[in-house]
Amino acid sequence: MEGFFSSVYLCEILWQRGRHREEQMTIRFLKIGLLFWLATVLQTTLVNLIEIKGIKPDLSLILVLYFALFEGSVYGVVLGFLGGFLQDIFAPSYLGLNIISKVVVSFLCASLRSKVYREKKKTQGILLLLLTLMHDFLYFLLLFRGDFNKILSSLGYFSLGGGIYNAVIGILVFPLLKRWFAKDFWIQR
Amino acid sequence: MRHFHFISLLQRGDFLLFLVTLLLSFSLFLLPMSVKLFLSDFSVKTLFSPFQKATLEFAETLKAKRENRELRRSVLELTFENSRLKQAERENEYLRALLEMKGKSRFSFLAAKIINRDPGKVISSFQIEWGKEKGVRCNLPVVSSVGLVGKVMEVKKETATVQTIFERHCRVSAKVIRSGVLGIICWQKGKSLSLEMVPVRSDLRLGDEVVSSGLGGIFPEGLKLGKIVGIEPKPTGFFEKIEVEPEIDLSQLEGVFLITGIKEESPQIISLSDSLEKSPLIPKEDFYFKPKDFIWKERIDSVIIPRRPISEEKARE
Repeated sequence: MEGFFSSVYLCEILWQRGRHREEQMTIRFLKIGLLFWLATVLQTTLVNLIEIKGIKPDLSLILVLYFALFEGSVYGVVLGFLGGFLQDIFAPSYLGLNIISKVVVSFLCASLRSKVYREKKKTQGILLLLLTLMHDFLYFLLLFRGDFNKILSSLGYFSLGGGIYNAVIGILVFPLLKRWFAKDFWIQR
Repeated sequence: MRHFHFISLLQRGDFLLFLVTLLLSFSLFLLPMSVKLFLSDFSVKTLFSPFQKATLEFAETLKAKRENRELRRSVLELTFENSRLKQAERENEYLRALLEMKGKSRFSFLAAKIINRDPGKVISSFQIEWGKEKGVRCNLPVVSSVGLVGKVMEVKKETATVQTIFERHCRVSAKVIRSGVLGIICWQKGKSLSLEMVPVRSDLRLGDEVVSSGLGGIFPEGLKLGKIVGIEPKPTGFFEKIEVEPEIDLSQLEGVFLITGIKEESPQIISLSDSLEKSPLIPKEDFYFKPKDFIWKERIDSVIIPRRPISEEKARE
């Protein structure tokens, strides 16, 4: 944890001192990478403490959907790949399942961003719930290789609760993420 | 038209990126297992292992705290449960003793719990849960499964006060089982009793059991009082000083039994006064004083002062 905080501190110092656009872009990517890394670490450790009967939130998915919704499809797809990969390396026999489902869902989310009013919390919540269901559907489709009985039962048990969990956490976390990444908004212009 | 639409879609950079990423993902999915294992092992070791350990420790600390809290609560619950079970066990023993006593004894009992007791070192009196409403009346003998406890001293509507044998005014007419020597049991000091009014050179031995004699009309005959643990003549020279160790420990007592009567069908029923009156061996008027004649009659329950038959005294003279 010390390493994490010192690197955040380093980022801030670099940010203050950074005069060039490239430097700031690098720092932005570092921040994003660090965020995904932290989300994966938390996902594999502390999130297990807040699970309710096996239902737990997917922090990487929340981050991926945030970037797809607010930053666009390029961010969404690349970070979907990154987030999925970081999750999949913990289950090597299913390497690729999370990546595929996250990439597809993030692209879909990015395609919807111009069609919905994304600043509204209700919209964010509904999007998170539906896209989590979609993500889990793809995941189980590949995992059970088309066995619909298993897919539906798993969806009913894990995904609905997980979607609600994700929606609640997403609504709480999105404003913080926006604040954290608001400084470098102008970089995109 | 559709063909044109697809080409325009392909011309969009983000869609192309999506397709490439998807292809890459599928290629990862279709990789051989050994490669997947290597990739996973390498990535986890380099990216997460050192940090995961620290986070896991933190998580374990949190978990341990939560478990600790739950364990403390369960310990508290179990402690309460344990004390409740102990209480139930004691109650069970008490009821078992009651059943046993009811089965064997010739008396009919009323079981009563002790609700309040003398906080002093020697329990001289205590309150029981029944009063006039349950038919409790003054001077009812009170016993436990071990022996005599005392008698009812005061009765209220719902409670009654019991005067124990450790109360300094309490007197119980007693006899030594082995030799039949009669005397009066009274509290001496601490938790020991003394057998008074026993003439010197009486047939007494250490360890002799002392029971109630039945004389006096309050306590029935045969209720265990204790054992003789010390005999020495008093300085006056007329009576022995006999120390009796009581059987009963009032501090451990949870409940007592009130003797409310004598079972009629019991073959052992022999009224004490009847037996004395009918006894051809003992001339009643010569042998003992009635309690009413005794100088301390207000303080005592039963008093028997054994005297030699008049004929013997005359012969001596």
